[in-house]
Amino acid sequence: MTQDSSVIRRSNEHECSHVEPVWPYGGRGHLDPIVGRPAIQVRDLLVRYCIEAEPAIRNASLEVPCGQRVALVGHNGAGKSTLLKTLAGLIKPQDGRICLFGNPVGACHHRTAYLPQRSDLDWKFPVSVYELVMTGRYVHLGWFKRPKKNDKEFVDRALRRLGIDHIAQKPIDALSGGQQQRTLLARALAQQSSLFLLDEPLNALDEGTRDTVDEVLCEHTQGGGTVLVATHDLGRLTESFDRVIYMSEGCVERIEVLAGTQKMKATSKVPKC
Amino acid sequence: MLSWLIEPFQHRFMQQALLGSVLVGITCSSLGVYVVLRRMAFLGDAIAHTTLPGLVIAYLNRWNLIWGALVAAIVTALGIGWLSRNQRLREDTAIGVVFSGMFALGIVMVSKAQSYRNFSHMLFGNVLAVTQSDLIGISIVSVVVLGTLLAVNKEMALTTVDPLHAQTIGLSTQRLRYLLLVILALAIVAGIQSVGVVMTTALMVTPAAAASLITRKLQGMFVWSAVISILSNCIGLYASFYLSVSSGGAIVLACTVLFGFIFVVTRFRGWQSESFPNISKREA
Repeated sequence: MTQDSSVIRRSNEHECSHVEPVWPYGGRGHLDPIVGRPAIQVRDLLVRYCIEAEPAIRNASLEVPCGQRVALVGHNGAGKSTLLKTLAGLIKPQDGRICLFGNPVGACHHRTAYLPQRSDLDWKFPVSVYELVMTGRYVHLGWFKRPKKNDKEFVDRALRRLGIDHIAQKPIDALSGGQQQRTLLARALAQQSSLFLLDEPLNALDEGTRDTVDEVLCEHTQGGGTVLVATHDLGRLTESFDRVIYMSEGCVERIEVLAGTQKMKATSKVPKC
Repeated sequence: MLSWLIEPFQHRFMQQALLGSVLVGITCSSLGVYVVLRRMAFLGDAIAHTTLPGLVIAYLNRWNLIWGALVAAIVTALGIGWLSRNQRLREDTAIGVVFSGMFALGIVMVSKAQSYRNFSHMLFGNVLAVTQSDLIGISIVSVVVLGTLLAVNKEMALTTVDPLHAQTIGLSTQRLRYLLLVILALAIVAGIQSVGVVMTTALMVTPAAAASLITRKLQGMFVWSAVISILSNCIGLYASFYLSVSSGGAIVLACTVLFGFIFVVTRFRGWQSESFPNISKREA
């Protein structure tokens, strides 16, 4: 009880201001989710890449409750990737407020996993699949600490779940597109994130990998996690998502709540947050 | 044969040269792994060249040359980092501007000193003239560079392979880049005594590039890079002793020949694929 109130007091000090404090890497400064607050809350967001440029996002407001799977839809240049990067703390907004689990961006980065488009990684770097997935644990380790037994267990479990444990020692430059995507998703699982921000994860993937990714995301939301996916795959919207956010020209055009979807929700648990 | 191998190292100056060059070799080649993986070879070359004005100022004022070079290298490294921050200028453009400007300043200062001869050992190195105090300086630099690299290796690797994920979890890629530039400057200053301003980059880039042909594991690259560097330094010292050629030139040439040999052998033997032995077993 005492801990909860201190968490709320600490987070209120920064109350999701657009002037973000600097949150350190590692465990120090991480805040727990505030009970009852949505996973994502965005108000009047304004993002520009440079001062002279047209805003990439303007006056965007949206809310994503915990435990939901939400699609971010729009044509190229609509602002989907920019929104995801802003939520991940990679871009600082010029105006507006963002709260993740009731806390400022960065205070929850141990609970947020951002999966960029695959081209954003240096796939020629000499590490194995296992080592790349292990980087998902770094947010919990911080400076100077080496992975311990439980970190290895999380990684092994994630590799098995994505069906890539047999290629754990394979160098990442030898992976196919589908294996690369599974590896990145395994890293997000190993990170034990509550919120997945995925930038077009199903692009150019075979049907088998799409199904696996779908299953893993479904399990994640059933366990109380939240998923926000930028996607062009309109065919799967009603089948796979709880709501759809339509974006156009940097604005949130409309938000559609999909009722009566065919997802397996029977076993869903109460969201953690 | 044994006496041929032992004879050079019966001289004190050769013992000191061996110790100095091996220390410099291990330091530069370890850092070189990141220089190669982050495609910073040009930056390393630029920092090495821009130490010249620092060296000349230190020489003219009778200060310790190492400190002069160090200040110039760090100023350059941070200057390039500052100019190219937020990608206002591309990094290679910033390097081109600072590198040529600083090297030109060095040349003007050398001409002002009216003697190129005094500075030839800075330009081309002379590891045979390493003194005990130089060795102490090189040792300190090596400990600092290798210690830093060991301490932040996990984070350095992450910011190289996936800078976006690193930023997402709160790591400042910019600060790590500055740190890398500073230890790069330190390693280069240590290398100047061995092979000189002009060829220091070779001590970083060539062993690491050869290592990248042998293995696709990061740890493996560090080990192979150090081994190749130590071998090159030894071969270079023998060549310098028996053939009476420039020690710096001989070391860099030995390094280049080893690279060529490894390039040819790995091309025909397919060594690299064997560096992850578990793959074939698990996939079979």
